[in-house]
Order: sequence, then structure tokens, then C-alpha cells
Amino acid sequence: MMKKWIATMLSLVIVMVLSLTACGGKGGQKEGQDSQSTGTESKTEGETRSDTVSTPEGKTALKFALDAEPASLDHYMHTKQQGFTVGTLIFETLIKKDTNGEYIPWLAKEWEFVDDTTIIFKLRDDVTFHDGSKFTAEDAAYSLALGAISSFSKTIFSSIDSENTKAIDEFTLELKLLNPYAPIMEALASFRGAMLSKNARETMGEEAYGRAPIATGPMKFTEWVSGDRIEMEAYEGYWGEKLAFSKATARIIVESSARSIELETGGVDIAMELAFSDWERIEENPDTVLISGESQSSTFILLNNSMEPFNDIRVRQALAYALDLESLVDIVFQGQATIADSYYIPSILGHKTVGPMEYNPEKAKELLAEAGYADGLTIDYYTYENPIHSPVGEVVQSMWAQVGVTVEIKTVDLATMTDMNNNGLVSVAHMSPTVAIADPDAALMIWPTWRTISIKHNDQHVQDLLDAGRSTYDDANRAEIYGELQDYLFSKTYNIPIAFPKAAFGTRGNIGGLAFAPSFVPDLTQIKFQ
Amino acid sequence: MLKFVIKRILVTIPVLLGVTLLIFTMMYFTNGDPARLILGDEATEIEVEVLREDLGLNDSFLEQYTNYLIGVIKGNLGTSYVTGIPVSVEIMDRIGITIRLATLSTLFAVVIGIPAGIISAVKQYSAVDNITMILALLGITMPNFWLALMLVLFFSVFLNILPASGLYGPLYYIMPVISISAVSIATIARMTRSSMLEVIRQDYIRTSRAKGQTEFIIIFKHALKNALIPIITVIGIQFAISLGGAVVNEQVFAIPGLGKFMVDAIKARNYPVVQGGVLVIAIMFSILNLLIDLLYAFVDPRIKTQYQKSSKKLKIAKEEG
Repeated sequence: MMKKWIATMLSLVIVMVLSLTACGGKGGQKEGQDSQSTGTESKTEGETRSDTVSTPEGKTALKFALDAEPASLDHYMHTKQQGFTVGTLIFETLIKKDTNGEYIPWLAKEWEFVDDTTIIFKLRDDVTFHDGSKFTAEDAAYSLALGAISSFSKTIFSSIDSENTKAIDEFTLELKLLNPYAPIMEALASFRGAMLSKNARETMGEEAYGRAPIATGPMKFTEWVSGDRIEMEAYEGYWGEKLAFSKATARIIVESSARSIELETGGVDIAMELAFSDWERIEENPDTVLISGESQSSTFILLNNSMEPFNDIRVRQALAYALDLESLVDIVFQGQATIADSYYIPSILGHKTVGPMEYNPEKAKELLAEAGYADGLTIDYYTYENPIHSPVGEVVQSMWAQVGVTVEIKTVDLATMTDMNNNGLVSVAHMSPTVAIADPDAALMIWPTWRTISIKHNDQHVQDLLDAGRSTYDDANRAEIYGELQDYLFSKTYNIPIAFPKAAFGTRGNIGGLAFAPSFVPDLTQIKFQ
Repeated sequence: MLKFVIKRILVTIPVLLGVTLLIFTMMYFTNGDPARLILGDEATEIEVEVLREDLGLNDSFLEQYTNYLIGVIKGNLGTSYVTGIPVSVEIMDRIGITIRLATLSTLFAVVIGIPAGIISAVKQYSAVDNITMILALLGITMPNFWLALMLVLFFSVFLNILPASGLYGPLYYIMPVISISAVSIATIARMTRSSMLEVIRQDYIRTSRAKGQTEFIIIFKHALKNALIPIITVIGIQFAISLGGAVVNEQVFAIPGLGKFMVDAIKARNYPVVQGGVLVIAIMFSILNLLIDLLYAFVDPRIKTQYQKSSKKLKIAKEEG
């Protein structure tokens, strides 16, 4: 009995020692060695880690770190920018936008507006899908019709007439719109309008297709290790110019500090969505480059306009007057944002400076007294655990307290918040929805009256101006309409614009050609190794 | 013995039923609509309603639960709301990593913790004892995520000898294993020490010393064996914790394990995944408990007799009496 026990203990120890040597024997030795020899050793050993450290001439693999795992790579099955980022390598659009903002041919060679609601596209005839089949107008018509009906993309493509958009011949597509829709070219040039394979998606089923997509891009999907990584390799039959790399791996690293550490240590070439606190380190590190810029989205404090006391414009304005936006933006965004002077960012068409509301607590108190809240007011503020939304709540709480408004912060989880928001139950909250494309119609997408979110303004005039804006093709006229809308929204104070935050991603020093993308979806095909 | 094992396996069935009922009820009454979470803010009320109907979320509680149970009995844990992949496939993808990490961490903790505890007990109040116990205290009190981040900073950023995250080769296991096992090492060392201290003061130890037995045999053969029961209990608990509770480490080291998978599923109100995951973890716990009970019998003959037939037990009692 005793012998047996000792034998068991011994074998346990042996298993442990063996697994340790198997797992990290070399690591154990390494700790005692100088850094030079370990450098070479890790190159021969951990292949996933080594090639990023090696010289650019031999570099053929690109590794980038995403901050969340997309559920699907099919852009008509989700709205996650992480999925779009991977998708830029696998899928392609009919047209692209160059650095001067001009639309250039891509899968479509040329196009022509027949009238306000009809566009004819001539497609390239040398494009094949990753399974070898030809890309035809049939696939294009299928993709666009899908965009119009999918609940994930219809805010952008709902104007497409899904029944009458059809292939005229093998390489000619007739795109029909239900009504004039000015953002159509912007939408088609964005990743949201990328082309899918009709045959593959129909035979595989939409869910399976989204986990192993077949499209026309320079890289083809090879493997998806759930929760860990997505792998791609160069598509031999690609019609266009080959990319600088023949393998690409998208790693999923949710923790933002882990993401930036992987970048700093050379584990990945690109780290997406860096937290503000990591920006400085990435910028100062000689081996890494911080690529930052103004993002497409803006943040605001949502007020539920159908709920007491926010249905009273005096209360809404008082709350706006009571906010010292300069301090708020400074504290929360650590200097990496500008104060929102309107309802969307300046680089999008038709932006007009209408704010911000001046900081005037006296006026706020007066307005509150006028509205019958001279003795103060208690409101609920909803938030979920988030590095931006939580601190905004605390700052707002202390600022509003100074004008006699008591804020009770209710912290719920994101699922509860989403549910409450869409049932019109959120009273006050800080929000930062992602803007799908760089067009005013998309940038103002919280404002349509049909939206289920808790803003609940029910103002037909807002809807009329939105409708007018989206159906006007002339840029100058369009800008005028949106200018009027921004003035109107500001005069009504249906919500309080807060900030235009910046965003950043980091790259290794040897990654070139990659530009900042306000949409958070950088075009990875542009990468060149230096 | 066999009868005992079979009985224990049968007992787990109502336990698992209870677990499914409990988790199902909890998820049912939690706020948050999976259909809305899948479709996002931009979907209309009608689209959300259609998806709710498709997912069977509009059925009554009883209907939903029975459907789920029938599925489970047929071996079908459902499909993930988010990815559309069968839950069993998704769990199988991750369970290997989780079990491997938990096993390695526990083995590491045993190999370090038990000797440390023994040395502490044998050399009570010595410098070695004090240092070990201070380290053990540190191990228990140090927040897990902090230790993990410090390891990464030191070994990956500063020394650049270990990869910072992922699990793509043997080297990648070192930091997660150290980080996950820190608490276990400390707990096991402390338990070993106190259990050993109790035993080595007993008369039979003094007797064997008096008869001139070597110290090594006294400690490892006579003392340790009798001190093992509470230590095994602690090891079992620590192993169980690292099976489902390594969430923080999985997050820091970007490891696709079961813990993080479940937390994500809870956040997304991905009911089938949560239920499937909890069920699988419950099964693992049950098996683990059974193994620990069997190990007790193996270590302590007194416990073994309890597992045997009552008649046999009587016979032994008579012999002893």
C-alpha cells in the first residue's frame, strides 16, 4: 500500500517534470542566459513569435491583434468593426475611395447614373472567387439585395430596390434604388458594400459562410480557431496586385494592455483599438508607431425626451448649461478628444458648428427654477462598466450636483442596458455609437423617428430634414439641409453632444502604407514592409 | 467499492438536473434580450420579434426548459445564438486548453506547495518557515490579474524571453501556469504545514523516533500519509477552481479557455452556451469529487472500510473490537 502510494507520488512528480520540460524546458534555461542568445533561440523555436522580430526582407506573414472576436466574417451577419477589419483582406467592393476622396474603379470597371434611382455598373471579367468560380453580375446583384434586407446593414442600404436590382448580362449590373439616395457611392465604397459569392453562401448556409467565407479578395480564409485567431493565406488566382505578405493572422486579444504589450514585444505587427493609457508608451517606443486620428463617431448624453422631466426643454437646456465640457473632456478622454461643437465630426459633409452650449451654472439654476425644480431634482443615470462611460457618469454627477440636480448612477451590464435602451427605459446615459460610413446620413443615424433607442424625440421635422438630406445628390444643397438640421437639433437640445474622441492603433516600425481610418477599419491591403 | 462508485455516479444525475434547472431559471429571469443583442440597436422591433420567435424565446418557461432537457438527453446542447455553431463543438474547442492548463497548474502547485509545507512544518519557526509562510500569504493575497501583468511586464517586456500571450507552444504555458497556480501553491503549502504540525506531535511519531527510525521515513511515510486527507481536499478544490475560474488569466494571456468563453456568453445572453458550459463544468466537478473521494480511500484505510459492504464492515468491527 505504502509502496503504491510512493509510486503514485513519484509518477506525479515525473509527469510534472516531464510536462514542464515539454512545456518550457528551454525557457527555464533561457532565464539564466543573456538576451542575445535567447533572441536567436526564440527565432528557431516559437515560429509564431520569431518572424516578426526578423528582418523585413524575409517577412511574409502579417499578424494583427483585434480587441474582440467577431461572430461572423459575413458583413451582412454582424456590425462588428473587428469582422470588417479581417474582411478587408478577404472581400472586395465594387468601387473604392482614393486618398483624395475620389471614387475609383475596383471590381467595377466603370459606372453610370442613368437617372436618380438607376446606376449601371460594368464589372471586371477577370475576377474569380477563392473556390475558382467566376465573379459575375449575378453575385453583385445578390450581395446588394442582401445588404438591403439584412438587419445589420439596412440603415445604409435600405434604399436599394432588392427586387429590381439585377444582372443585365454576365458582367453588367443594374442597381435600382427605391428613392434617390445620396450616400450610395460612399456606402458602396465602404467595406459594408463588399461582394459575396452567391453560390458559396447559398450552398454553405449563411452561418457557415460567415465562419469560412469565400470571396474575391487577395487573401483567402484558411482557419478560424474560436476565441484565438483567424488565419488567411494569399489567394493564388487573385486578379490584382499581390500583397506584401502571403500569410495573415488575426489574433483576438481582448485585454487592451495585453494587446499593446504584444505589439511592444513584437508578437504582433499591428494592435487595433489601443486604450488612451497606452498611447504614450507606444508613441515613445522606438520600435512602434502610433497611428491616431479623429474617429468617425461622436459621443453625447442621451436624454429621454418622452420621459419626465426631460420632455421640458428648460430642463434639457439647464442640464446642458450645467456641464463644463472642457473639464469633462479633459478628464475622461485624457486630452484625446475635442469638445463636440455639433452632432457629427467636421470632416463629414455638411458639418456646421452650432455649439457647444456655454458653461453657465447660474443660467441652469434659473431654468430649473422656471421649470418648477427650484428645490432640486433627482434623476437616474444609466451606465455599464466601461473606461469612458463610467467616468463620464461620475463627472456629470458632480457637475449637475452644483445646480441642484441629484444624479443616481445605475450601473447595469451591457445586455441590460441595450435592452432598456431599446425599450425606451433609459432616462439619461452617455453613448458613443459607431458611425458606419463617412456620410451625414449615417452620422445622424440616432435621429430617425423609427429608431427604438431611448432618445424618443418623436419630432417629424427632424425626420423630414433627414429624408430631404438623403435624397439630395447635390453636395451644396445637401450641406445646407444638414446645416439646418444641426441648428434645429441644437435649439431643441434633444441630447447634449459631448466629444469627438480620437482613436488609435499601433504598428511595428517596419509596417508602412497603413493610414488611419476614421471608421476603425483600416485597409490592410495597403501594407508594405519597410 | 464498485457499488460505491456506481451509487455516486447515479447521485450525480439529480445534481446535474438541479444545476440545469438553476442556471436555466437564473438566465430566464435575467434582464437583457438575446435577440436584441444579436441584431443590435439598428434593428426594428419587428425584426427582433421574429428572431425571438425563431430562437424559441417567446415560449413559456416550462416549454423552454423541457425542450432544452430533451435536447440534452439526446446529446444536443443546442447551437450558439452568436455564431450558429453547435455548443458542444464550441465547448470541445476550448475544454482541452482549460483542462490542460488546470492540470499543469495543479501539478505545479502540488510539486511546489507540498514540499514547502513539509519543510515549514518540520522546521517550525525557523527562518525558512517564516519566509515560506510570508510568501504563501503573499500568494493568497496578491490579486491574480496583478501577478499576471507583473509576470508579463518582467518576462516579456523587460527581459523579452517569454511570449506575452497566446498558447502556441510550450514556452507560452510558463506564465499562465505560474499565475494560475500562485494561489494554489500558497493554499496547499499552508494546509500541508498545519496538517503536518498536527500529526508530527502525535505519540506514534514520537514512538518511531524513539525506536530510531530515520527522520526521512518518519516524515514521508508516517507523518505525511496521515496528514494527506485535508491536503487532498484543498488540491481538489484548487483544481476545480482553476477549471472554471481562470477567467482573469485567460483574459490577460489571451487564452481561449472555458472561463472566458462562459463570461462572454453571459454578457451576450447566449443562453445555450451558458447552460452547456455550466453543465459541462458541473460534470467535471462531479467526476473530480468522485476521484477525490476514491483517493481518500486509497490514502486512508479507515475511509475505505466505510465504502465496503456493511456486513463486511461489521466483520471488521468485530475483529477490531
